[in-house]
Amino acid sequence: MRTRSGSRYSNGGEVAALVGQKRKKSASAVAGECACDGRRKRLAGGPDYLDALPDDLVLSILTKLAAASSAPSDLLSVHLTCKRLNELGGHDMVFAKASPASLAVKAAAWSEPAQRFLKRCADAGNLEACYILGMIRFYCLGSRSGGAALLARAAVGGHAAALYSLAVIQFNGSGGAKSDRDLRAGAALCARAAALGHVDALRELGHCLQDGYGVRRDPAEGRRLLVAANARELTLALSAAAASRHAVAALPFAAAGGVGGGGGGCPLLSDFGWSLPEAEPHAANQFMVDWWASRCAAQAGGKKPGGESSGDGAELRLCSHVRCGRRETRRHEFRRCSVCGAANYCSRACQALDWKRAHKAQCVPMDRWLLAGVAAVGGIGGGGEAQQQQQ
Amino acid sequence: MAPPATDAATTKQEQQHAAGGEGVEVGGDLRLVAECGTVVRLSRSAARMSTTLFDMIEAGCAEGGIPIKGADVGTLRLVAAYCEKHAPHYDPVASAARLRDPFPPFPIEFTPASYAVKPVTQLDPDPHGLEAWDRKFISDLPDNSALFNLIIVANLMAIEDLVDLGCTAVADKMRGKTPDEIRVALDIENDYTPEQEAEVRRENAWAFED
Repeated sequence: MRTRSGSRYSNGGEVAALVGQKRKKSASAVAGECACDGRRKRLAGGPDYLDALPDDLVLSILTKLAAASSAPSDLLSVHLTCKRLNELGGHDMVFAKASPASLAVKAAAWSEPAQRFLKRCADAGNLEACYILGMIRFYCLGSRSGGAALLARAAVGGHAAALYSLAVIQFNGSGGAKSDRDLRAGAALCARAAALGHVDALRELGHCLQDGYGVRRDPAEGRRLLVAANARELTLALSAAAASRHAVAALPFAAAGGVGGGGGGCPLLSDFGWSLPEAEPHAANQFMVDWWASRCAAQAGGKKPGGESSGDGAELRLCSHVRCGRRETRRHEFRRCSVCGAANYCSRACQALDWKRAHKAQCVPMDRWLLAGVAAVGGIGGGGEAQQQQQ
Repeated sequence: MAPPATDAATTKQEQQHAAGGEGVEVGGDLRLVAECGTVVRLSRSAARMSTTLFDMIEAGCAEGGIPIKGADVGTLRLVAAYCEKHAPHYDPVASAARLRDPFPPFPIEFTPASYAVKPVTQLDPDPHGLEAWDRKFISDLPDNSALFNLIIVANLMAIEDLVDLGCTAVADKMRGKTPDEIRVALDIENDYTPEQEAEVRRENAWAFED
């Protein structure tokens, strides 16, 4: 904005003086400025509304914009309009309130400026940005300690998904050796995430209780938690549907379509033959899925000979629950389906979801795995002796 | 002694009887004087919404006209209308003012308990019709200058809810638009040199690929 040398109100008047005293703003430096800069007369040259607003009000406007934006472009378009908005839009207060949708960076758009943006939001204290950047750094960029530190920061702030991701990392010993697995720490993190209502964490904790994995074995409580997870998922799905004003999207399965068919998102409903449209995967998971897909496509295009850092048949597998997107950090980190041995899962929650969704139709028992696979790896969903040994 | 402005209706009558009609201001309407001298009346209960006016009432200096520098009549009338409409349902605890300046100044989290789980079917998100009224209030504003004046005056009078409403309205004008459209909508002047603009565009290009 061109600065206008308009006249200023020198004496603030009674009301303004009281305003100066009574209001305690955290951005007190900005408020001090605003008392002087605040009300300039508009010259007849043309309207200049934003110039008339003091900085703290423009910051409020930008903060509201950040909190309601649905894509990064909503938030960043403002930077391109004029210098003052560029400067104010870069204020920490605005980035701290950026909505989760505005932080949803696409894998195709990943670049240095995108990383800087996420880093700024994370530094400003935006928990969602800490989580997304932590996941990207840990799994996609391979920076284990940096990624884990960001995840820890989000988790300390109470971000349920970050707590759950840290729990998965602890359960698998990701980023370290197999002996670095810490089942009790993982279960504790999972419990905290479950207390905040995270569906996957509820499921994971339910399975842990049923099997005595990292916690004292309590099958009844575990069963209760699994039911609670289903109920919570249903609640979230229905309130999302209500919020988006769609007609209630629960559709009964066609009688022929049957059990394994098109797979709606909620196991509770699908048991009774109803389905809901599946929930959107989280931005971080979507990023990882797209990231691995693009890496594989680049490799399949013959750009590089099979490098050890990527490659799906070769060394490190992806979680077979396609929406999860996590990848192993060392060989044989994820556990296999004990029946067929072809599917690998990062956690029980992923295994349970994928079973209903897709794997039940594809799982074909292979005789040789029943002997070798269970003993070696400790398969999920079977091999009770193997799991008791792990306690 | 200025009475606490909580039961404005009954107190007003009591005071007028007790004081033998000594002052119209005791328990009466406040008089806000605009820049040009016109007086806008505001009832005490509505004035509670403005932190500044509330403090003035408490301190006992709300008699006589209260000049509001920098406010023109139209804006004051709009502010008064907003306050009058929202006053019966105003809850200081739940208002935006508490969110802005919370005590203690750090967030306290409790584990959600079973009674915190809300029913999925929305009972009535807008019981008093206030949100619909607010939307109409904002859309009835003639142009941007009225909106910005409203925000400035509400800021002056420390009416947090109205400031939030105005800021949200401006943010809605900005959202989902390309920079050129934002400039047109809010009459912003583009003071970038072409090089600077190109640099900012490059910095943010990743967000616009679609």
